[in-house]
Amino acid sequence: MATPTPENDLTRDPAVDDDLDAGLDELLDQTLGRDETPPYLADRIVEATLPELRRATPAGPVLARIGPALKIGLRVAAVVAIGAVVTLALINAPSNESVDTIADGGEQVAPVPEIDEPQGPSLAEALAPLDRLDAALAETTPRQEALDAELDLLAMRVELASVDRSWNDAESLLDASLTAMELEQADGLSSLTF
Amino acid sequence: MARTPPARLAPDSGTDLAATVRSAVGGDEAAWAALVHAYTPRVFRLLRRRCGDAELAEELTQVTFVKLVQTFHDPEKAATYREQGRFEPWLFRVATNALRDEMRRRGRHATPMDTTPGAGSGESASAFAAAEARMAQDAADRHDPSNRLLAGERRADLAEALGQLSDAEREVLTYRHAAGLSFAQIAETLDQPIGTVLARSHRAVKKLKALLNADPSPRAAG
Repeated sequence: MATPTPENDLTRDPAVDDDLDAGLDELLDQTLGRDETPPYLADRIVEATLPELRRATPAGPVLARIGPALKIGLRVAAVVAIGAVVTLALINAPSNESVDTIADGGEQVAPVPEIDEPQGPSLAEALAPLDRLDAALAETTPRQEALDAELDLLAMRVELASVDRSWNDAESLLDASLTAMELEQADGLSSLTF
Repeated sequence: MARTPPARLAPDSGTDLAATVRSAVGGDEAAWAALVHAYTPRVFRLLRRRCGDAELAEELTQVTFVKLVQTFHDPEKAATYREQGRFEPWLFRVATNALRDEMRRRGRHATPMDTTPGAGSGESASAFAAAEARMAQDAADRHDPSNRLLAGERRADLAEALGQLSDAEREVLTYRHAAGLSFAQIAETLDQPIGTVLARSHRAVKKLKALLNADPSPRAAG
């Protein structure tokens, strides 16, 4: 009989089997199912349709025609190219250092400020009490004692400036203080020396 | 021309068919050749029986496979036929549509495809019976010389009886015995309810038996 297919679940449906006996079934197969196919028809169809098959699936046949050695070479080249790209990306990537801390052997430590970078309260704020003390001494103590006290204050100012590590400010402050003292010397206190 | 036999596909192996269709859709030329070799005889037989013209059937068989491979461009369609195992109904529907289009193009009634009740009577039925008898005789001449006369007569009788059926009834038998489709596949191919297909087959077989039993040689009476 004609070739059944796997989905042929109803081929022998009882409703039909009651009527279709084996003899008639075979006769129908012989009558309807035995026309001979023209010679090489399938081969001619394959030849005619292969170009269309290649167009429909362009990647498959192309890869199939590439030899195994070339395929391996292509894969190796692809791996090398990927590795090179990853390496370059790592080299050119920006540092992961944060603004607040730096990595030092895996242990995070506080950042070292730059020499001119301001830190803590400003120098003017730190020197304000000394300025007030300076004014108080000038009003309440004799002149020589006042000069000694002002020298001590000057040393404290210089020390504050050095802690601040802002050498430019410190030098300016020192210059200003020296200028003030010279003015006072010129004002009649000749015994004061540095 | 020297031809190398391609890998053969067992049409009754669902697993092989699914794998082969998958490979063919993916561009495997050997798988495609196996599909063509497996289904060309069935497609040709169906078209030959439906149009009664061997040359036209050959041409339409080629057209069917060209249309088949062209659908591989459509990934959605290809996936449907590959995954859902509906390759055969789809293939024979393509063949049926190719025949219908050709008949329409030629500007004549597609008599074999006329599924209206009663289409088997009159001139078209006579022409079909004559063609069936001629094909049956050809087949008898090619097979088993010792029983050639007897087998040929039996087939010719059956061909005469087939000519008395409506085209809808004859259509179901042709898809069943020439194309080798199940009733479920016939229903899907023709886009008809399975109950309709079964009922037509039932009526066709009853009519055939009645015709063959009533007159052992309807040809002589005709």
